[in-house]
Amino acid sequence: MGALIAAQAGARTPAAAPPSAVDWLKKNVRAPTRTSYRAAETITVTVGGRVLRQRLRLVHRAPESTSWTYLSLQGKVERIVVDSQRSHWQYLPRRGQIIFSPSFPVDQELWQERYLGRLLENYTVRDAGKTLAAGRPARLLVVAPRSGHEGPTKRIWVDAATWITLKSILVSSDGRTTVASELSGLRVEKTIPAAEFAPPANAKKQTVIYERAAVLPLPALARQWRHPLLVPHDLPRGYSLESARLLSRGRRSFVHLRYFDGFNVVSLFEDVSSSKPPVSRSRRDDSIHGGPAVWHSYPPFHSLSWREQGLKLTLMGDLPRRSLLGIADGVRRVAR
Amino acid sequence: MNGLDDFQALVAGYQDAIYRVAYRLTGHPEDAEDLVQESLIEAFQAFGRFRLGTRFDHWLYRIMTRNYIDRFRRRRRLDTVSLEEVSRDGETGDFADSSSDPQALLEKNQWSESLQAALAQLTPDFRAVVVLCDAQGLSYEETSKVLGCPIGTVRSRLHRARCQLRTWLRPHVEAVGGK
Amino acid sequence: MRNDKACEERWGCLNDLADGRLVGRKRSRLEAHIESCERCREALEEIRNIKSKVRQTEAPHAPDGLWGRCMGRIADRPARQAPFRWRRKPAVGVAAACLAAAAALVLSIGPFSVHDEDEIPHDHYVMEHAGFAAAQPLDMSSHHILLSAQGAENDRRNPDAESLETPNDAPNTHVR
Repeated sequence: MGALIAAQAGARTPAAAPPSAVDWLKKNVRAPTRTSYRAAETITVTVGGRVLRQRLRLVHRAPESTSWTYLSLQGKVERIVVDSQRSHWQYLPRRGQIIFSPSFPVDQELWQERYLGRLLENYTVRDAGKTLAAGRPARLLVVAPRSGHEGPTKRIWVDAATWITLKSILVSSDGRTTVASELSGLRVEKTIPAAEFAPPANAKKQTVIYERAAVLPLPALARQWRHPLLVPHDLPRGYSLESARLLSRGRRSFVHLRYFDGFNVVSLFEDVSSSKPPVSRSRRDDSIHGGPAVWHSYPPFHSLSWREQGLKLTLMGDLPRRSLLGIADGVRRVAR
Repeated sequence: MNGLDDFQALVAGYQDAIYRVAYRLTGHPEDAEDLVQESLIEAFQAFGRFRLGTRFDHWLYRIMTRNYIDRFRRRRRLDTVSLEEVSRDGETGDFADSSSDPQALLEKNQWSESLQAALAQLTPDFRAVVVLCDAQGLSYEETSKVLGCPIGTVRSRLHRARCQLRTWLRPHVEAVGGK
Repeated sequence: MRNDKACEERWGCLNDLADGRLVGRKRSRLEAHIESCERCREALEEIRNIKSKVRQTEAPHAPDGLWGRCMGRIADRPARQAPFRWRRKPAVGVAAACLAAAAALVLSIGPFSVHDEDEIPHDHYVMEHAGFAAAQPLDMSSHHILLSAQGAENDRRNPDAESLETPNDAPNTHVR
């Protein structure tokens, strides 16, 4: 637990001591702020007996601009995505269209301050030693749930020279899905022109995906939300409420409760249900509180939807299905 | 005559192989299940003609390959992945060996995928021969009995199928075998 | 390939050798040839590789309950022969665009989302869920799920190229 204490105290390791596993993890998280590079990336998702593969070209400009070019099987550009912490857009060449959407900025300092401790409570970070990845010397880190905790496992091959992630393999909580990412042809660059991250001039059609969210303490949200507020009471150990948000989409609003263990997210959404009961297309029939429940898959996570008390509820996350069923079963009204 | 118990016992002895053949032929879990179900129904109806003591699995493969090849000719091939399949989580059946080594799991899955993709490029006749001879280890003679064609035909189809597989599997073989 | 017929014959013999069907003088002659011919040696190796890979590559296990279902149907319906139907249907709907091999990774769009005007589309939930996950430095997979959800949302707003609004008529929104 020395690493845990050190991390929480913000202690610096003495210059003479070799970096610990957690030190390596922190370096890995900081790496994008220091290094610009280009690479080819291959993402492979295996779920059950099925494998899906995506090839991309990746360009990263320190500290915070990244572009992903998605390639078809024939190597044609299918879409370009740019995230620059301030803006986020996708360009679809086939339609000449740009979609702007809220960016999801990665704040390394905030992460270390707010989440690393929680991660270390629930996961071990192990240094599995020196190895090679993408033809370069690398360090293999293994982030795995502690005994009794449910969550995914991630192996990260950290470049010894630049600390960037050369390769990673995530295994879902139930062990059935793997999501792997692998770089090849990595070229570290001193500079990358900012123009490479500018939206194409000839893109005409534009869509904005907007968000209006109020982040509230749970009691305040319960008061603003004019319907019963249902809350999980039987969460697996280590998951705690990260935020409670009220969001709008046009005339409709919905609640989003986020539960987090430092690494893995579980979400509960609730909105006012239409009168139509859900249609289950799955061969597997599950029910929650006496009503039908429907599963969807977004490897590595699952989603479970059901209706009760006039609301439609959707639970989403990378947990084994039986755990999600258990959480859904324990969802109860919170007193105002 | 209630041969259901006998029939069930025989099926139980070959379950893995039966499903494997169906999966390698059809390439999709749902189609594989359909093929298995319909073939077993047909097999049970014809069970009176089966001579106990001879190879039940080969007898069943005969029914399965005939069903598969006959139906396939009448059906247009659809290449896109169906949303229904993907969303049917947990029903697709997973590898028994849920190895805790994700690298091995990844490689194993990649092999199965590229093999299935390569098999998908073969015509049904060629695929049937590869599945029977190479996947299931039947001899040319046994295969010729199952498929109802001369041994020379089995041989030439198998050789040509392997020639085609060679092209598709070669980059993969080099990549994996190079370790 | 200079001589196709000879190549085909040679390929046939190599296959026979790999399958243990070559005997006597033919076999010893071929084995002697292979000693000095790199191309044939490699080809033989490839054949053996293919055979072993096809043999050893595991197929998924049968889904739960398959055998019970089969036997149940047999017990229920001994006499009638059921017509054989392929149940798998082609990919349809908006999300098919997301699912093509080149697009971002797999999603399923459920019965609530695409056509129910009364309800919040499921993709919005996916976007919110994956958006937070994608902002975690250690996460990588959620980014791609997020893109799929955004793509599906975009397709819903812009079902076809012709009916798009011009940029100046963008809805009254703000980008956070």
